[in-house]
Amino acid sequence: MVDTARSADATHGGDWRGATGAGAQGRRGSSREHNRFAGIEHVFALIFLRDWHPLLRDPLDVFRLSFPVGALVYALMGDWDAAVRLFLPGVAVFLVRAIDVPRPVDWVFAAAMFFQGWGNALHLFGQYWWYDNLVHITLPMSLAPILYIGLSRLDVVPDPSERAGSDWELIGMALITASLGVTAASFYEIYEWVVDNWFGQHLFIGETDTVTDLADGFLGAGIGGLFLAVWAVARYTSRRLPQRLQRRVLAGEPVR
Amino acid sequence: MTASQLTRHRLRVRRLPGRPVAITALQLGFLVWAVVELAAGRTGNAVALVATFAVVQAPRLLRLPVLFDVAFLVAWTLQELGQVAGFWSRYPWWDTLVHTAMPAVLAPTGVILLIRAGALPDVLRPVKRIQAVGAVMLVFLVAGGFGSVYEIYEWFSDSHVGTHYQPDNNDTMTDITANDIGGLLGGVLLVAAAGRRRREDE
Repeated sequence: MVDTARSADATHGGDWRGATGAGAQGRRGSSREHNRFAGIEHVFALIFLRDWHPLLRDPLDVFRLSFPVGALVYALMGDWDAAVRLFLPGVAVFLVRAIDVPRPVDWVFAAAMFFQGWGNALHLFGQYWWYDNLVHITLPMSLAPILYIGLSRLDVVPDPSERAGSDWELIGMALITASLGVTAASFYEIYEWVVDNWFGQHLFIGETDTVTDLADGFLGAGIGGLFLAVWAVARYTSRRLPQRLQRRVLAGEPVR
Repeated sequence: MTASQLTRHRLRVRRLPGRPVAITALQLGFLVWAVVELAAGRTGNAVALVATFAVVQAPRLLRLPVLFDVAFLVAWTLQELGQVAGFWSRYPWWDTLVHTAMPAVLAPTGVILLIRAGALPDVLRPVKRIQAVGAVMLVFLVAGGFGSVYEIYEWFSDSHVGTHYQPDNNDTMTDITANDIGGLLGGVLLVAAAGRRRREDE
């Protein structure tokens, strides 16, 4: 990128190195700024986009480790309830890691699971009235696109990029993605109802709570469906880019 | 193609598919029932029955297979027996039956319409077995998604309009579960019927 900037400067302003005067100083200032941006871009790519190691790829993997580490700490403290409530979301985030979904989807899901797992462990659901809504929106929002992408890998539904041919195709894909999220949310409500009624649990459910959770799920799943439609329109891949391709992309080489 | 042939072709294209007389007779039964309700002074019930008569014409207007006429007839008869004949209060399980039957009929219809509109891929001609499973799942998802949204509507209506659709949380959860079961049933029946029809065509 620096080389490109230099050659562009040389084309428009003559010799880049030998330029003098106010115009040249301005160009030098602009070039320094450009270099700074290129540096920031490079550091961003190094930290967030490039794989560090196959086992610990990026900051998201470090974030994922907070679940098993937290579960272990709580287990050592003897709080088995918090340990299990952190361990299970941890399993979910590592499962999603295995299917290599695009990074933004992976990040949103990890954040949603963080709210769920750590919210339970730190008893945040009871402390903040809005916390339950936050979890019930973010979970279907992230889960719906993941489920759709997962099903497309199994050839059950077409890949998102194949459904960007017309508005109707996008609407259909967004609808099915949203339905996945809403149905998943309704399954959770059925689970709560079953364990409350037949297994003696007390999850403090009621009519308003159930419907509010469903409405949150509907909102989140709708956002997830829209997100996938936008993603398909942008023609981004539904996979996390492999390292080989990534290197080429970061180096600015054409990807064939 | 001559002008007269073109006209005949257009007429043939526009003409709605025929239906067995028994189905038409049973559909007309809703109108007869509406007249009886009107004579008894129950105008609301009569209007509901006339509306139902219009709804059961949908499969023919949408050129769906005869199987859908039968399915619509059964589902809406169950609905009207609950609403007009009072079966909802007479039999506690009637509501669950209707909540199973409705998505079993409506979700496959919705999926067919979405396929025709190009919103969904043609999942009714699956190449692999997993795609057939996918077709069942799409019907199930449409039923599950819309069923959940319908429960939100019922709650909203009860809270803000003063209706009494949802007596308690058990009713809501039973309805959602019944919707899901109905959607699954509808998906399996649709894929089975499509497969049978495809084999017959071959």
